[in-house]
Amino acid sequence: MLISANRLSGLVAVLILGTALPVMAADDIRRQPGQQPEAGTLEQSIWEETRKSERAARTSGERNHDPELNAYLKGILDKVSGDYKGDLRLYVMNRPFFNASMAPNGYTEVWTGLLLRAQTEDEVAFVMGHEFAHFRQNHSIRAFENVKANQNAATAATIVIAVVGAGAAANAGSYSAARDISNLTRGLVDAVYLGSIAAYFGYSRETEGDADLHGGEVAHLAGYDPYAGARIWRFLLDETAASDYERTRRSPSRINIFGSHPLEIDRISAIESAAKKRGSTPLSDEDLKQQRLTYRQNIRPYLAQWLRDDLRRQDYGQTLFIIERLSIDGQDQGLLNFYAAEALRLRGKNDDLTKAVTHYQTALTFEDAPATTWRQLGDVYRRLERTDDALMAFSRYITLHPDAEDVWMVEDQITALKSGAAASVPDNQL
Amino acid sequence: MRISKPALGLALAAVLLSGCSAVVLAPKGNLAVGTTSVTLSRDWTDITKLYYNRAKKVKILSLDGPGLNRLFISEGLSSKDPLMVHPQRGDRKSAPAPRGKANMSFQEHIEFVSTSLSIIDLQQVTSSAPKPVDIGGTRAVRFDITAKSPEGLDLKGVAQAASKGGLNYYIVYIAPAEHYYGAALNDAVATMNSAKLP
Repeated sequence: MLISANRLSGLVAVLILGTALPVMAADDIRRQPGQQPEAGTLEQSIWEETRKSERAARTSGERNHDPELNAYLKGILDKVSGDYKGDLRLYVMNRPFFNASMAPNGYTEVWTGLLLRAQTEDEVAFVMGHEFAHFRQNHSIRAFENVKANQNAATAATIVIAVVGAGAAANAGSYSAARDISNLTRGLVDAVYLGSIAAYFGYSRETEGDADLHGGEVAHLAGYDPYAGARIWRFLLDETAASDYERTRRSPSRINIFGSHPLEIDRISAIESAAKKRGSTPLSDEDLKQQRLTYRQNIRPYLAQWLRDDLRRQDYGQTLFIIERLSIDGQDQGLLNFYAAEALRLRGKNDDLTKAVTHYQTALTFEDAPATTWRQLGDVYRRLERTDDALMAFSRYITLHPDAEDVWMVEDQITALKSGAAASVPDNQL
Repeated sequence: MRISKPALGLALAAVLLSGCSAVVLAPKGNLAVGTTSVTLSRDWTDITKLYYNRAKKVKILSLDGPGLNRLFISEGLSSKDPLMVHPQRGDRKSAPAPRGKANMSFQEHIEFVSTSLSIIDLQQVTSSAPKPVDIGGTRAVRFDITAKSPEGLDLKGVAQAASKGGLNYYIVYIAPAEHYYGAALNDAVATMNSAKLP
């Protein structure tokens, strides 16, 4: 058989396109409430695997066992999932990242980072609706089938390319022509492989958009604001832009054929269009404020812990952005100014310490400032070499909390400052 | 070139055994860690090199395996040196391991140790009961730790932190609360008591 390199390319381009097309479209194939997988099916195998993950989640050290928080969130999930609520089990995880998931067997995780970033219950309901849509539409099972089908197509295409390429190389007129055909064959096999991966991610992007629309719909039917999804994605875009890390800031614009989620801006437009089609209008500023205040009532007991956890991500730019948004209605100003100061203290770049002083001082004008605010303020004064201010702040802390277990440490600081023993060693001298 | 089966077997055994050098005995007695040193009250196992991603200026000892007890002993750390590094995620520019700094207060030392423990996936890390200790004339802080493993096991620990000459020195002991913490606590505390700063 004689075949030219160009004809080989043409043949293989057809095969690549074939593997790159999603085998299954994200059409509407819903599961029924209470539906169990049939024995010996792919779905049953996936359920078995997710049961293992669920067992790990149940005993995980990251699991949040607070009964009130769990009950509050289960209430939202029940409203969103309607007749399916008996199929779903909720696990709240103490993880400072924006995430939620729902496995094919109904095991659901909501991470506290999502709860910190949501400003209203509607936004939490939208995310739960989004995950519920994945569950109800069987997206993960169909994604698995999609991968499998694409892999089969890719394997078949690879075999055809290899056979055709070997034949072409054997019939090449010269060693260099045979080598070129061999190299081309190898490149095309790689392209088929990448094509199958791109097809998977294309399918995944499609289902994410699908879940946004279905999720928005179920949340809306449960009485939630259909624009909430647009708000939370916009929040995430803005938070990404506020990151301390360039790589993170660049991430929203890195969409390509391997991106699994549609670009957030497209998702925002799609959600807003769907809401308009339902005849909904965005909430007024006053209604939105009321929604925020109501949600804050529910999460207030956990706010300090979630902010502490967020600081451990060490992306202080993002933490400061979150705090700024949490401050929009002037609530919890002692706590929020304290944690803004903590983020600045920990980052410690440029004029961060000076700004931290301002936030600690502001926090101290509110009743909900944490007990350690004077101590932390004293420590920042110490680092700024404002010795008199540091002594005053430390003394104030001891006066207010004479029985605190760390009083001896603060007294040590006072002694050191008075004796001048705490002379600074700038970081850059280490 | 032909290789006989026995020669191939020996070569294979050598390759496999070379992996064992990652775990070595840390015998009872003096153990130098950079320019600092401690005296071990019993034999430990040095498992530092089990981890490809690790803090370069920290030794990790264990008695029963890393999941059952770990004793981290650092040499003097500057603001460039992490105390703990996630074994898989490592220490990346966009997700750096925590660093301390010069002139840290005891409170900052405690915060740094807690954050470092979080970075190796311990959950709900809390510190309590800070006590002053003296390490060869240098004032230091020793405090208790509680945490959970990622799998939900309750953990307890003790840590010691000191600063000298602009560098920070740490010894951190962590183990499951049930049995293991108490079983090696005296040896861990003896190690802390024996620390000699340069």
